[in-house]
Amino acid sequence: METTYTPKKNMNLLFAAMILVGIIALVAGFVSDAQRTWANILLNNYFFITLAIGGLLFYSIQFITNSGWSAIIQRVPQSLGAFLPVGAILMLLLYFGLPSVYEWAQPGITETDKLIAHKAPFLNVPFFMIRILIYFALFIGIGYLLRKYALLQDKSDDLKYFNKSRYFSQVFIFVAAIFFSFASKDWIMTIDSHWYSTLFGFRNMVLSMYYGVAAIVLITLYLRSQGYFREVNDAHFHDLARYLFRFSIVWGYLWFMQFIIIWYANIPELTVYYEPRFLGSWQPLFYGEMFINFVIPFLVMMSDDLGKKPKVLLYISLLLMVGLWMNIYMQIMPGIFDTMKFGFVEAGLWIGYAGLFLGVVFLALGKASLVPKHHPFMEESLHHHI
Amino acid sequence: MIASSIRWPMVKGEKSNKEITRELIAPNEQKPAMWWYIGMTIGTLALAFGGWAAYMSVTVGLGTWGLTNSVAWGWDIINFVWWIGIGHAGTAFTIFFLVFRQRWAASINRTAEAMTVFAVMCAALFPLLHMGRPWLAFFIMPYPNTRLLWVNFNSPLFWDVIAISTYLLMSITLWYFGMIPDLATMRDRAKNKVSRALYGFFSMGWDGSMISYNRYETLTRILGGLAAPLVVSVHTIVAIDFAVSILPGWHATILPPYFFVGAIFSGFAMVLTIMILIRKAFKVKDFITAKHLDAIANVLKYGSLVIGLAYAIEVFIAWYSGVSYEMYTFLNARMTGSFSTAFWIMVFFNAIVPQIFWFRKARQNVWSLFIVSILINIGMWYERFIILVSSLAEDFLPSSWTEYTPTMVDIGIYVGTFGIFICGMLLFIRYIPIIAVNEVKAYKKEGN
Repeated sequence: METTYTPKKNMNLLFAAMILVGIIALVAGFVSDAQRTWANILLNNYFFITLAIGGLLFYSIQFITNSGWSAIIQRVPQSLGAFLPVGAILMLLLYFGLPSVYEWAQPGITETDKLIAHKAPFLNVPFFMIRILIYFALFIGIGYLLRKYALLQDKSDDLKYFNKSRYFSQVFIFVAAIFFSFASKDWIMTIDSHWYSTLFGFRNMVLSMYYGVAAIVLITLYLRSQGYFREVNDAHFHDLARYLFRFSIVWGYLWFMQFIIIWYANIPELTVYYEPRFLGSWQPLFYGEMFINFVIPFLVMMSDDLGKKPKVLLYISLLLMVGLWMNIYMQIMPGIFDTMKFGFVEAGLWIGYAGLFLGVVFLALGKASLVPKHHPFMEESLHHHI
Repeated sequence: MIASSIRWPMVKGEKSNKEITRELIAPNEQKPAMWWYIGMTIGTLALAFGGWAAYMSVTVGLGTWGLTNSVAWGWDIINFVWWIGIGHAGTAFTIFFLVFRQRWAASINRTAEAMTVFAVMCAALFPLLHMGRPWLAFFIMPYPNTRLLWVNFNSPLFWDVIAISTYLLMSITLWYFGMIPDLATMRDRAKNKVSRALYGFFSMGWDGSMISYNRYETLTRILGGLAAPLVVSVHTIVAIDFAVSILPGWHATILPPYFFVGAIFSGFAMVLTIMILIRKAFKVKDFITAKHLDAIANVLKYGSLVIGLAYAIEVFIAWYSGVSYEMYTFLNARMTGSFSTAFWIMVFFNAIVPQIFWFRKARQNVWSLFIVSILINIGMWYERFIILVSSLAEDFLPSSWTEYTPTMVDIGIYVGTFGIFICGMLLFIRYIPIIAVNEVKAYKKEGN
């Protein structure tokens, strides 16, 4: 069993080139339209932080459900979490662009807008930045502990560290449920500063798990194509496919619930959010997003035979990455702009971020054994056939 | 199949299949103990009280209830939602633990599903009586009729009827089909002709052959797949009944998942209560081990997290929204005003007390498990009380504000549903094996 990941020579070069594209897009964006660039920075920050949190949540869920099958691929979700410190820095950099993205951060707005004035004790720049620090301190702190105990377990026969990992994975679920759902409200919902939805945080929490699994699938498939993870068989992929299938249902459910309740009650203060998205110029994306994130994965993954095929999983997961982007795009942009904008800034920045994200994740993968050692469920995972 | 050494066995001790059958079916083959008769007496008395209350509601009218023009939904709907919530756990237990391959649930499934069936029946009684003229209940069914009337398809209340009747049908089917192999065992062991004929009829000629099992497994899978969305849909639609209105405290997008998790939470608490009692009464500690109870307690911990989080989010967003009515409902009426006692009971029992399950000792002590499970059920009742009554009693116009107190008839119907539940459960444990014998045998060697 090949247990150490050594990156191909060109990999880092590729990531560097991607980051370079991102930097060019960043510069071009700031020269042409600074507001649009800041909005895209937020979009991509959130995109990749979502994947990182989703990875760690998946990792934690394996502990609380006593899942044995996933032991072999555990390093993949764990490594997604390595992006969190980078994500924290990128979120903090948003400080310089807050007024471009958030209406409430514009100076003097509290004098003209009564509702924002009411929210000012919560929606103000210093407190917003402090909250970012708190969120990341918790995410990174517990993510670090999870990583630490996993690596210590590699060196020890004693199950002490495994039990510690199990304990902290419970803590992580609590922390992520409370703080990531809140962070989503904080970073995304407050863009439409007059609007509110109690479901928003839960919805985005599920979003992170859903796309986190898609990212795990993609990285696992890549590693397998490079000759690692030879023991990962159809049954493992099938289980991942089941995760995708179920999360697609939960995602669709929450998406629809938020919409139907607001649509049915038809209160202007709340329908204001869906007006541009559902009836306005953003409509194609509104339906497109539903198709890509729910209808297609749901119908394809319903079949047991298709779910076992790595190729199908590959395409679905790639599609879901597009879906995630559309999803976040639709959460952010209609609150800032009147019309859809898509060009080099959007594409380039995403490529840059993706390069950075993959660079960090693969670096983390290379730092430790790719397959956990002394994992009590490893034998089960190696002989997983359902 | 390889099982890790850290997994715990589902059945304690090395038992042969024969021993398992004998131990699990023994209670059905003996004369019931004293406690069974006492329970039946209590249940029947409760039923009689409920029968009187239902009689009053029908003959005198709904004026005998504590409802007013402002609070048009009172104990009836509170108890309806409460029972429906409990009625979630059985099917959820089977389905969701199947999804996560939690095999240990196999020894609890049967009782949890029975609980579901009786709880949903209790729940369905409330809207039925609330119609005032229950004999016209069939009006709610959409079919071409000589009255030339159609139901209002746009109304969530109509969706509710459909969701609940479908769910009841599905839970009964799932429960019944799950019993077939065990009913056949009962048939084969039956000593007199009547019971052999009855068990024989209900076991549908089960022969236990490979091909029968094969088809049976496929059927279970299909039923399970159909039941999963139904479990979610029922409480979602109950939540939508409230959420699509424009009342402060009701119109919240979080309500569907929050109700759903609340339902699972209260249902699992009830499962825990019942399992502890059954474990004690039937001496099946080798099948429902301390680890089983520990696992349910852990689930309650997460349920409590989501519920507590939902409370916090609702209060925060009420302030954040800046809508004065929302702010009044949450910050005044619920947290500090007329309903504050109930509100803080709800928060304490649902969001704080179950967190005691972070400690292993609390998860392994039967008494703490029992007490917390009861407290959760009380807390969840208060949650429904808070949601319904606080929003209705003090809404937009202070001139229409009112106080709500239940009458003896309200209480009678609620007690009566306990009668249905207690009698139903007692009859169930008398005549049907409380633990799915065939499943326990299949999984006894696999760890959890």
